[in-house]
Amino acid sequence: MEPGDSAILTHLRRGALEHCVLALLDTEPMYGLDIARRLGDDGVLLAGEGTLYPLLSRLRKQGLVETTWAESSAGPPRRYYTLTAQGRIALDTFRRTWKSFRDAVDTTLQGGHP
Amino acid sequence: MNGSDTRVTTYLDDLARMLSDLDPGTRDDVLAGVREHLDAVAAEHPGDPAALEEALVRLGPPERIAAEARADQPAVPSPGPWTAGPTRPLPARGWLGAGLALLLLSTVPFTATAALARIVGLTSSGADTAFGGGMFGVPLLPHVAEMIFLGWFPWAVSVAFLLVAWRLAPRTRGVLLALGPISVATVLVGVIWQEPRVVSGVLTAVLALATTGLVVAAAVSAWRERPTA
Repeated sequence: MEPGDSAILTHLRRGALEHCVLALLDTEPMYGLDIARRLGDDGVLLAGEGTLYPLLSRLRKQGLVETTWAESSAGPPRRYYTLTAQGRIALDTFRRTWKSFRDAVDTTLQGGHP
Repeated sequence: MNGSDTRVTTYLDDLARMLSDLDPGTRDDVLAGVREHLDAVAAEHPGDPAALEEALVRLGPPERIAAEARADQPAVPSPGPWTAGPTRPLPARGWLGAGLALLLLSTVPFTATAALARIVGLTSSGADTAFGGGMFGVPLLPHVAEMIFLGWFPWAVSVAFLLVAWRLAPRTRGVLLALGPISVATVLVGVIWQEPRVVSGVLTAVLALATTGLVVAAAVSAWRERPTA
């Protein structure tokens, strides 16, 4: 990545990343470390795995995810994050909006008219 | 304690310090999330300091986590307590504190009283002559049945409080709930088993001390778990 990339990514992540978390949880409840690994592997979506936790805290306050404790086969009990009905609505809305947004950006970048 | 444990502790301490000016809900949430993340890594790779080191690198500098948490704060940072008041969720830590206090109240005095009565019975002509008259007409030692009855009431209330604060002490809550029955069982042993006097009296005192220690240890442990509110 070029040095300027990280500044652009920071701006692009805002708003998109939280919906990526919702999308992960749409398939199954997950715990923090699991989400962090899925999103943090390429360094594109997460700047550092630690920044996931302020985001999860905000999603929970907004009522988009909820947490439950479950025993783990290895180690202490884990806090699992689950999508709420409100979270699923937010995710559906984002999916629709994202597609038109992405298409418009792509078209413009390729020199066409949106 | 090895090097990576120290680094984990330093990392969490640094993060806690950088989050200290945020609202307690966010601060506890973020800290608990990062702590569980590291706990899970440690559980997957027991005795592997390199795995923890790598996890710390992947978490990124605590400054960045704090900056992200700060970016989440509302644009108007100090809305004043009167606007936050009606919608603020119940302070679960307060319920946990009240539950623990009542738990102490419902267990320790009664086991201690039962033990004291037995010890006094051993050293004087008997608990009845020492305490039966009481002070200013108020009996110093309640009757056994009253002790058990009085002990169950605050215990039941403390259980209700602890249930409200259930998420706060996931690792200790089983012990917390067991303390009431353990305490009552201790009192019953002290009351029913009177012979041989010296052996049963000493055993009652030891049981009372053990119950007190257990209650205090469980309370301290529950308080230290500090999961999110």
